[in-house]
Amino acid sequence: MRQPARAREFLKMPPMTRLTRMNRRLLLRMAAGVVSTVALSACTAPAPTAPTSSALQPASAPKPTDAAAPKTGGTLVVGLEAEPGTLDNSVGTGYHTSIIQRMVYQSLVGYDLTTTADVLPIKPVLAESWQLSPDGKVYTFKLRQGIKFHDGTAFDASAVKFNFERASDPNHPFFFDKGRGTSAQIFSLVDKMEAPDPTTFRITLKDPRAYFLALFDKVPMFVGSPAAIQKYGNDEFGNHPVGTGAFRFVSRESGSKITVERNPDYWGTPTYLDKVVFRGIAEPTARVVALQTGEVDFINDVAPDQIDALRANPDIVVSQAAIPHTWLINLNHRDKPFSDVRVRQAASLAINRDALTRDILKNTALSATQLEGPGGVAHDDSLPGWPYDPARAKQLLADAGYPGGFDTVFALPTAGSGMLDATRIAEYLQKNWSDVGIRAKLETQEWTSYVPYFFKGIPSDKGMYAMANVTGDGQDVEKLNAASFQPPNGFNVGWYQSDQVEQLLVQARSTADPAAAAKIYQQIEKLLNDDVARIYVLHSLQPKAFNKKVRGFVNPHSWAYTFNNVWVTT
Amino acid sequence: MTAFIVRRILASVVVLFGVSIVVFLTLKFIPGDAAYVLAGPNATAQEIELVRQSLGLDQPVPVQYITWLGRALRGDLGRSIELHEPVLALVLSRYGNTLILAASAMAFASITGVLAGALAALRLHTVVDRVVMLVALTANSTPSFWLGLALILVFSLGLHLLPSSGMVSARGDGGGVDFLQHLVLPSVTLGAISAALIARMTRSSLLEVLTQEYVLVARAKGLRERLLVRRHALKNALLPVLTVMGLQMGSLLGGAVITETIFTWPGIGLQLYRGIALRDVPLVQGAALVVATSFVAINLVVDLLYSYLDPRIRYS
Repeated sequence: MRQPARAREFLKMPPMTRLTRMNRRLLLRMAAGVVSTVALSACTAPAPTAPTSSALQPASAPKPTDAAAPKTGGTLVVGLEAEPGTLDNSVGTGYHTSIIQRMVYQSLVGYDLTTTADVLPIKPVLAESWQLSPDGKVYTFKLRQGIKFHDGTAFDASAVKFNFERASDPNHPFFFDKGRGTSAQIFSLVDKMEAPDPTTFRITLKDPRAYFLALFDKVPMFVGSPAAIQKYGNDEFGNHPVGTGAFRFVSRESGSKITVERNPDYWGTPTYLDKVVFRGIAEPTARVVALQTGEVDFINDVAPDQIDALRANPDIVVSQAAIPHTWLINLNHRDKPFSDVRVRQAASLAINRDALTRDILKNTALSATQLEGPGGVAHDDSLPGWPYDPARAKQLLADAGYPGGFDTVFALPTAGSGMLDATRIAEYLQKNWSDVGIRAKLETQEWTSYVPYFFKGIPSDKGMYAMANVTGDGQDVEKLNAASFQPPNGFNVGWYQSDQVEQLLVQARSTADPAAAAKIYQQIEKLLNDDVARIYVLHSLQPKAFNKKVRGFVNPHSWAYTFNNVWVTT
Repeated sequence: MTAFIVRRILASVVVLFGVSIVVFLTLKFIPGDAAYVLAGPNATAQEIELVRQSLGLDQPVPVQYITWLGRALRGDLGRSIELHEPVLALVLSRYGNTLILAASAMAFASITGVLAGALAALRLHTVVDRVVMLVALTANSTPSFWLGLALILVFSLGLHLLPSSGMVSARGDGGGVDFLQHLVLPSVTLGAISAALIARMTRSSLLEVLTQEYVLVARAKGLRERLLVRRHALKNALLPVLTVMGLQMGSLLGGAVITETIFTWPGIGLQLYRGIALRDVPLVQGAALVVATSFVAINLVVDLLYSYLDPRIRYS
């Protein structure tokens, strides 16, 4: 018979002949390798045609031709950029988790996320009004009456006090030390808190702080039901979050999804949606695919590589909005060469920000001009920022004594909060700089390893440290530039110091009126810009994408967003 | 035999201790800790220090290990820093999901691998043989990351036949069919390389068997080819293949992390990856311990099984 004879033949063959057959196998192996490489590169081929300029305008409302009236009912499925952490209201484990926390809990006051105003107004939420004492230290909130938590217990001033003390007072029976990091930022400013009667809550600060009300928008200031906290304890409250929000928590399948539903007893305008389901999909390509197949209806954080495919898809709406975000580079002000302002100016002039945002980031970012991105209180649209002028950069370097350029080290994390695709951006910058003679060596590290390294400050043998500024409340201007925030205390890792800026910072901090304070911060921004305190590269537009059946979504100038006004057509 | 088992169990305890120490020290030697993660992107150094204190990370490293060990020996593996869920329950449920995925990948790999390999051996040197081996070679050389995304693009995006992420649909209430649909693509992705290996092993093993003398004798006696292959040749050929399958199971469990990442399959690989990135020490310690325990237990069971199956093997 054929087969066994052939098999026996094969095995009987002398080694040399078997080797010849082996070489044929080798050839096949190489061919397979070539085929898969070609196929792989075909799969990562550039996306279809570039977007039009309309992609830059934030899509705040559905298209004008959509005359559909909002309809009640339906479920929205959201793909978040990572698995959410614990939902306990005193722990902030990330922006993506806070989106869910924001729907279930509320604060006394908060940003109005349903408007596309340049600077979001702070509006009353659980407090119906507030008063500030003339010395700017005492905030007296008048709380709304008749509000109930999702478990039916009443909301009042003692509930607020319970929550705030839980987050800040180690002697509180339910003190939750996990949230200490974020809550310390806020409560370290507070002298005392009082609840004189059920509808009045008073906070006395140690010193006036213009940005204090803005801090109420942060997670530790959300109010949870004291009854539920006592019932479930610190360990389990995160799995049974109870707040006053328009949505109430239904269930969480760990690793799979979190479900919230409409709160039928909500004190405000009821929501259109019946349910919202959240799923964390960390892999960016998988998130986009899930949107395109309809497994999810809404995704946040679309990578530049995939945005063109979504823009070209008629069933998908891509929405971008300028937010208080800046991708920036801290410079070493203590040591040469960056201690010379001309060198700093040259490094900034060498960067072609427009080409970077257009070609590498596919218009998902704007060229940065200042410390706070659009939407921040210190943001000033009239500030021009530094242009692209490599010729002038070379001239400045020569004037400063570096006609042949110089070598330096640029340290950055590979990813992280607000860092986007840092390595890609850094490689582009490296090329820009080498064109004028600045030879930057890139030193990359994983985010969690980078942070402690970053906080030690820039040592004398390194020049630049990348970071992102993700706030816009004015407090960041201080944290990055005050001498008291130099390492090991904070973010001023470039050892920046300016007496003029110090004076203005103190002035701004103690101004109670937010508008007046904002003006001073803007003054500081201008000084920082002229002095090139650091190099601002880009402001992210945080692209979101959703199925066209999702209506009513407003993309505000903020990291936060809400689904309270959203409805879905079928 | 009993002495053997007792000795093995004692040795396993030592191994588990070793694993817990090595994993703990490795985590401690990487720069950065969970305090930075929990404190958030805008925290100052003092705030980070506060969080570090509340997590017990300001203690010297040996003290931290002893504290963990003391609780672990009482069955308390602590809570995940990020999710604040009890580690043991979390790890067991995630590990269970990975085992389901690995078992399903193994089933896919075994069935397709054996069938393909047998087919190739029986049609030796024909077009069928060469095509099967070429496909096997390609599957072996293809990175699972690419294969997973390619399958998603074709079957989810292109043909709308299968879902692209998760273990169950986010939309509906789940159910058996939904779950099975979600299982298909990840299983194929994870099992592809094993399938290729099993195919090649089956082919060469079957070829060896078919040249044995007893096969010649059976043929001389007039036994039909199909019966011969099924009843005698294949069974004997599969013995070495079984060994390979056992080894493959181990590598499937390890390689699941990439597949789990692409498909957002809530398994231990994905959870561990996240845990390491976030320096979630209780979670990583607990996961390493559970996985190591299962490996050690499986090894012991397999060794005992060998002794049971092949009477010539006896342990003392």
